[in-house]
Amino acid sequence: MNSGNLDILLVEDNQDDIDLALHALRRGKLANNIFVVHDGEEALDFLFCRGAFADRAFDHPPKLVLLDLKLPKVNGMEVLKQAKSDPRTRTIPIVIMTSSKEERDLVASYNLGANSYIQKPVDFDQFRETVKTIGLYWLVINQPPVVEDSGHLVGRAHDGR
Amino acid sequence: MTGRSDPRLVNRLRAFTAAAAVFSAAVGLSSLAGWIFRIPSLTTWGAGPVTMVANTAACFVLVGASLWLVRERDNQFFAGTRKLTARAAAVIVGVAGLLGLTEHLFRLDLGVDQLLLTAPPDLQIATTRPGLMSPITAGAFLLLGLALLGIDWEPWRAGRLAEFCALAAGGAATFGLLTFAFDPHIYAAHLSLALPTGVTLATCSLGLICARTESGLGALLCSRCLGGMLARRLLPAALVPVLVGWFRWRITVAGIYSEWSVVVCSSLISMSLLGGLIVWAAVAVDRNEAGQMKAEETRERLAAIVESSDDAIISNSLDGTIIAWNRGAEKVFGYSSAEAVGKPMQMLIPPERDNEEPEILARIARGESLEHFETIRVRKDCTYIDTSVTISPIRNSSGVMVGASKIARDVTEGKEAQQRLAAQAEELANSRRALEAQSLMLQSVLESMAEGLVAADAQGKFVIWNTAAENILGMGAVDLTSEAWPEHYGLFLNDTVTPFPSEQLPMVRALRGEANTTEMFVRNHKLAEGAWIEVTAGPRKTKDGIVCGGVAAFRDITQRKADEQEIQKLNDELEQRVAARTAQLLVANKELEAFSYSVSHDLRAPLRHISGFSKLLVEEFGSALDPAAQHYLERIQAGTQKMGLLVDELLNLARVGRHALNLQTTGLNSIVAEVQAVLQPENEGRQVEWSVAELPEVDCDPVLVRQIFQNLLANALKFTRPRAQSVIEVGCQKKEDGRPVFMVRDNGVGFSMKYVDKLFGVFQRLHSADEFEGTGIGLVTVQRIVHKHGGRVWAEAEVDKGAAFYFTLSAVTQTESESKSNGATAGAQS
Repeated sequence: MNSGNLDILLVEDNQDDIDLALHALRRGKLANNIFVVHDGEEALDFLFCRGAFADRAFDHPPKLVLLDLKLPKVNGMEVLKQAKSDPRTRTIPIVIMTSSKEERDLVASYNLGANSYIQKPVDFDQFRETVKTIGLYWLVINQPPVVEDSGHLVGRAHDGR
Repeated sequence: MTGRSDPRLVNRLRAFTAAAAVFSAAVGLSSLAGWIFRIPSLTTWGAGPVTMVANTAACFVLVGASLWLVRERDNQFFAGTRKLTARAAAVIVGVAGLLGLTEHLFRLDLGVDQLLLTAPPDLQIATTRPGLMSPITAGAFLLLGLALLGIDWEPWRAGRLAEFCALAAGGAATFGLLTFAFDPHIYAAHLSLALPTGVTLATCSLGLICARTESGLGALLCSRCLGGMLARRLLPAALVPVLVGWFRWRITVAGIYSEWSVVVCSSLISMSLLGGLIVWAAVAVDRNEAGQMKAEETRERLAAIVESSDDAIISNSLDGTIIAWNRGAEKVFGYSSAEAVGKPMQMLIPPERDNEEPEILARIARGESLEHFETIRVRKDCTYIDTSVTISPIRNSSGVMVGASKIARDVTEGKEAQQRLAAQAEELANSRRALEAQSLMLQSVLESMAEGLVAADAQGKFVIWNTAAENILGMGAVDLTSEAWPEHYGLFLNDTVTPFPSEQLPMVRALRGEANTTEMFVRNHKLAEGAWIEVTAGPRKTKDGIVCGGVAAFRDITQRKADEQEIQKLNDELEQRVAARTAQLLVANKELEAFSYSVSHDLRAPLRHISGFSKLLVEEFGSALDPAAQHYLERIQAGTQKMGLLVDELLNLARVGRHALNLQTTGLNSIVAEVQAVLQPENEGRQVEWSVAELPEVDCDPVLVRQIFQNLLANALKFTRPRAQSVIEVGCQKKEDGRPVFMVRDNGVGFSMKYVDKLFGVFQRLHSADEFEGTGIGLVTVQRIVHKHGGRVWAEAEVDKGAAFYFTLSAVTQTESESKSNGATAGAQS
């Protein structure tokens, strides 16, 4: 599976959330290179190029990881911790996007090196606006640390349909 | 009775007189009886031929009677039957004698001799005329009669006359007796006397002489003076010639020796007897003289003592006249002896004490003596002096008081010294009393103490050991070295079995100068159960800081120990329970956290999905749906939003409950400003007038307090929405023990105070959701935060008149530190 030149890695276990998130990204014209994993273990495999993602290369990291905290197998916080504690993955921007507004989650996330923390609003309009803003910021406005090739590599790419 | 008579001798002489009277009468009566019953031996006593005639016998009876009656002196010469009888008897005797004598001289026969009895012929022997008394006897009776008659008649020394008569009568009797003694068988006609007659006459004469001891021979015989003594000793010498004469006569009659040798022998005997008597008398005189000289010496020495004494020694007669005045008296009173003697004592006594002397004399007369009688006397120079006077009576040899002697001492100076001494003594006594009182007080304090108190000297010998000490330790102080104390008193370390090391005993340490407090266990035969005591000991020090002993106070802490153990046990149990409860709580908290965590994740997610998909449905298939379906979808949207809000606020409330207070000094004005900014969107298109007062800095959790203001200000904005002009006031008042009371007031729709109780209940709302949106959780959250701070929140409102919310935060206001820092700032600025 080739997942080089990926824009967004969405780590989310709930299919409803995945659909709504993709819908929102698509509305924001940001859904071109999105890869979705459904649990923390898969996310780690993806980030560390192992297991099912062994053919991936570290020199093609995603431009943004949208990470839910409540995940099966390995929770989001652990994923964040491992990703931010390894020099090979440390530079990947990780935005926590979760239902919780728990202060301890918030503090712990930032302590572990999360680049941003967003509570998913209940109101869909607000949610859509938030996702769009994040995508715009991290993919367009923000200057990433690594200059990557402009190849299109899509593994299990979703187009919403 | 004169002073020179010896009373014992006087009595003896009187007794002799009485005996003589009785003897005379007895002889007379027995002789008469001899005549009547013809018993010749009674008239002759068996000696010689001469008998006592009846007249003579009768005269002896009368003489005896008269002598008996006059043996006591009586000054009333012719008074009383007794005297008359005596005189009459005397006259009869005298007349009888005179008649007898007359018959003899003039050879008459007056028949007197026949008057009483006619002498029987066989008895009429050796007499010229039987029954006639001899002329000697007659003369003697005449003289005796005269003497008896005039014994107390003293116009011209009659006593002496009576004595002469008696002596003459005695001499006549002696003549007769001597004649008889030399040879009773010689019959000298007219001169011979019967033996009883001679003896009785001599006895009566002596008795008469002895009857009066006031004067004359009687007085001489009983005198204590030298003359009396000589008379008593030398009178027996009168018998010497009689003895010598009798001796010579017997020798001559016998014719054994030559005349010259008889003379020589009798002279020698006379000389020896007289010489012996003279020497005897002289020895007595000499001894008497020596005694007198000694007495004189003693007297002189006493006189010298009296003279040399510094004390005034005065004697006065009973009428108060001064009769002796020594040199001390001259010094004390200022009068010379010549000036004083013969003057009244009164001159020494101040006028105001005039009655003192008679009283003193009266007391002295009663036999009292006054010793160290303190009084005031006046000197010649009229100054008054304090004197101490000792007064005693002066008595003569017969014990009669004749005056008083006084020893007076000037104690004026002594008196002052005495007063000073008395004052000092008083002071001493006072301080002693004070000391005694203090010591008593200390003693009672010691005894009333519940603590045992013992004190020891530097050698460890106990000097104080109060009752409590005895009770607590079970025994009293002992004189043992400190090494023996642990064993004697049974002192143990805290393990209750190791004997307490003696060098570590509190008292021993105190004696080393260390103050200490120690617990120990005591168990001895008096305290079988054992007791815990706490001992506090310290050294006693002298003023120079040298340890001179130690004091230890101790009390029984057995109960306290037991209590402590009980408390420890309870505490342990409590801790265990608390730990268990805490563990339970921790578990519950964990569960709660897990619950709210999952609520925040799992409850919100479906809401989002409902919201999202219903929105997408409207957006993407809206044209295909009929308006009712679209409306329903909108209703679903609103429902999800409200549900989201509720979940959020509930989570918020739960978070507040779990939130640990993080107190920081916080300026509230900045928080209010932040909240105002956050709420700005709500103000859009409205007229809102904010009035925020100066708020103090307080210690609080800023995150939570921000929540308070957020909720209250949001409420204020919400409920003033119908007002054209919203007025929202934030203020602060100093109340409630100086703690600030914060206030948020608005002019909104308010509420009825009827429902004020529901205000802070979860999900309780006073307005319908149509009027004012809301979850009913905001004020509960406010209350929870305020309570977390230890404060209080309450509200006042009126329908349509607005509402005011007040709250306090118990955290201490920063006003003080503020003013301090202000002061410091001001100081730095100036």
